[in-house]
Amino acid sequence: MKGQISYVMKPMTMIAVIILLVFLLQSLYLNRGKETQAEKKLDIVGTGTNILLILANSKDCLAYDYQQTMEKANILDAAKLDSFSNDYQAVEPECARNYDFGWRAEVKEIGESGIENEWTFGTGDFSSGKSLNNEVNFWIPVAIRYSENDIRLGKMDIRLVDGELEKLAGFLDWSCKMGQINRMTSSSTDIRTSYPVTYNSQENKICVGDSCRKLQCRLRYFDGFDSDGIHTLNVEFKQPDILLVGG
Amino acid sequence: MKGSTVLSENILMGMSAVISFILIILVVRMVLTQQTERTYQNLFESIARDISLIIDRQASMSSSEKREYELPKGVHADVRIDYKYVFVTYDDKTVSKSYSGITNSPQAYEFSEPRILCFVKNQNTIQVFDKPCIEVQ
Repeated sequence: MKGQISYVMKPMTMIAVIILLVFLLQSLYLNRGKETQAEKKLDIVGTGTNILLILANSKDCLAYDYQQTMEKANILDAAKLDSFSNDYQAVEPECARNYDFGWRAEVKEIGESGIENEWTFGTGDFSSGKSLNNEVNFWIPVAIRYSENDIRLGKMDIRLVDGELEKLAGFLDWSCKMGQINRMTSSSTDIRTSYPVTYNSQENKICVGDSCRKLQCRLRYFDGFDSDGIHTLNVEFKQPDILLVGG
Repeated sequence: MKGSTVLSENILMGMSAVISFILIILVVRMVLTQQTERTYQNLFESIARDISLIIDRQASMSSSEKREYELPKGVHADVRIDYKYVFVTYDDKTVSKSYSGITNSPQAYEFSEPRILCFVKNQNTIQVFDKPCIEVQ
């Protein structure tokens, strides 16, 4: 009888130990995954807040340039809003661009009868479906200054997206910019995509699945990726706005 | 069976206990090593994140200011503040964090194992020095 119990118990003990170890490892990796997600969330929330504040308060962006010692916060220049709205309909303004994310901002002037004026700028399209990792929406109250005596109430919204299209186009645009300012002529990265990647050379747009973004530099020797997965990109900048792309 | 050793059940049990113990030690060691490496990397990512945050906060200010950042004591890393990215290099690895503002600096800032960094926002320019702000004119 004793031998029979021992015969059953030993494999069961072994299985129990293996299950325990698997459970231990799984819980550790699960926690690590949660930690990574929390870090990414922190990055996107922090970036969203910073971009709004930079847009509203940097003189390179929309801030009204007071020629006084005393500075005021969140006062936008109506003339700069008109200019941004005209110039940045497919790409984010450089003064607040982040090459890891994509964003679009909307400024609304609020009067007694509701929304009286509206400006939008930033990228036109975002990652979608499986290629979208995360997105946040924020807003802040602003004042819109038309003239010395004409300052009106408004709000500025931003939609900030973390996705594969933003990462891919961000890398290509950053490499282009680094070449144009003579900081770096070649760079490389590994990019993961959940859909095939295509490049439209006529419109100079890169697409991940159905989502597309206009690029700063024109690409040479790049037809896209036929399949999803991890792809290695090596790029070399050529003046004035060419990126030679190799796999 | 003359000349051959017969393993008793007790010896087998002892051997299996020792092997199990070694296996558990190896698994725990592997997990702890990975965790330590991850924590170590997190430290440098935090440094890069802190620097990016300072640059963005200064870029979003309309006034001038100085801000000091002291790297954690005992940490040896090189810092490069380039266009829109902060790179922190430790051992043979590099971590990076992006920032959104612009420094309007004509070149990248590179510091070898800095202890302290001083960020000076003046008009639309952000300058970085590897000395206490009190020593920066």
